[in-house]
Amino acid sequence: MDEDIQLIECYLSGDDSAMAKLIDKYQKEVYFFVYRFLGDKEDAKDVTQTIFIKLFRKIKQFKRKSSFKTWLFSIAVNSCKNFKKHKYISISSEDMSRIPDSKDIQTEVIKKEQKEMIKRGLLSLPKKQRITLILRIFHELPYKDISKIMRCSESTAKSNFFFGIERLKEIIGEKYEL
Amino acid sequence: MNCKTTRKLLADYIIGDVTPLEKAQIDEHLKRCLSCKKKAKEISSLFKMISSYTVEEIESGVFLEIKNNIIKELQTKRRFYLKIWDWLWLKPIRPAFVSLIILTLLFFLAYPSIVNHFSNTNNYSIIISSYIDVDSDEIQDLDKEDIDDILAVILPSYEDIATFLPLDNDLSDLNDSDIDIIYHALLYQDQPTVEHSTML
Repeated sequence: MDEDIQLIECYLSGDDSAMAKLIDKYQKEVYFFVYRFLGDKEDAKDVTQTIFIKLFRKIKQFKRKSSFKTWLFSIAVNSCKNFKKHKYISISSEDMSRIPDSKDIQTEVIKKEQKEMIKRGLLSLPKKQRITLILRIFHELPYKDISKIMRCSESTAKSNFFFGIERLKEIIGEKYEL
Repeated sequence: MNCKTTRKLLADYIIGDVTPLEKAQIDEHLKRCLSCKKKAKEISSLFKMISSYTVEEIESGVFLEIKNNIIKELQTKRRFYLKIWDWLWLKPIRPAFVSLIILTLLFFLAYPSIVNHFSNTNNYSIIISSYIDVDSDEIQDLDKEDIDDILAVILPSYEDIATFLPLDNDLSDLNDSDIDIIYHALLYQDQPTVEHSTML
């Protein structure tokens, strides 16, 4: 039997350590997904907690038609979509004015700026394209799983990915001449 | 493979998620199409940049804090629900418990008509037993038509009284205030005779 399914069975029979193991196994992945989607660490922390609480409350509804990870991500996607508060974090002028002369530190700052650019680019994408891009690039999920998570067809997932990439290329390409 | 199809597959090609046949076709196309080759380079550079977008500087305690909060929240609720669940759904008492719930629900659903039935019967009992020497239990066994007949005999001027009451000759609607009015009207009527009890 799949390890995740075994842990779920244990949890359902009253073993709370199984719950801790499932959290340990997936919380970082979920946190990083949420962080990339929302762009804020504190929000990512709160939403990750909410996702796992929802997950364990609904765990009896897990039909095992898809993998546990796919099911977990479908809850994560819905929670992120429903998350109303949306902070926009950007590099402040204060951060930029602190650029020192040292070449190494300058490189670091450029890297930081690049990351910020990607973050802004991702946040500016429509939700469906953003989710598809994050799941595909950072979590390396196949279209089959993404379509289950997003409750859409594989061809829709493919076109969301294609247009997401095109748009991100336009946003980032303007500055970095891709 | 033409340019349109190639461009649709370029991102997947760079990730390495295309079939061997598609890969061979794209490789072949890129050899002879400079425009698509340029596109492929752009996407490849974009992916390199994106891959640098790692989530860093997460404080070491964050994940432990998240985990503890989740467990705390879930265990508190779980213990509470488990206690109730265990207590309510012990197998031996399950049928009795379910039956009790159903009976309670039925009682509350039927409550208004039950109360109404008893109160009406009691009203008739009070009127009839105050004029005729019979047990109230016997009166309660009577159906509506009998009661109607008896009251018509006991209260010879019932029709007159009824004109003052919002009864529309339906005695089942008698309430306390109706009875008060009937008693008041009866002060001016003759007492019924004992023979009337033979009707019962």
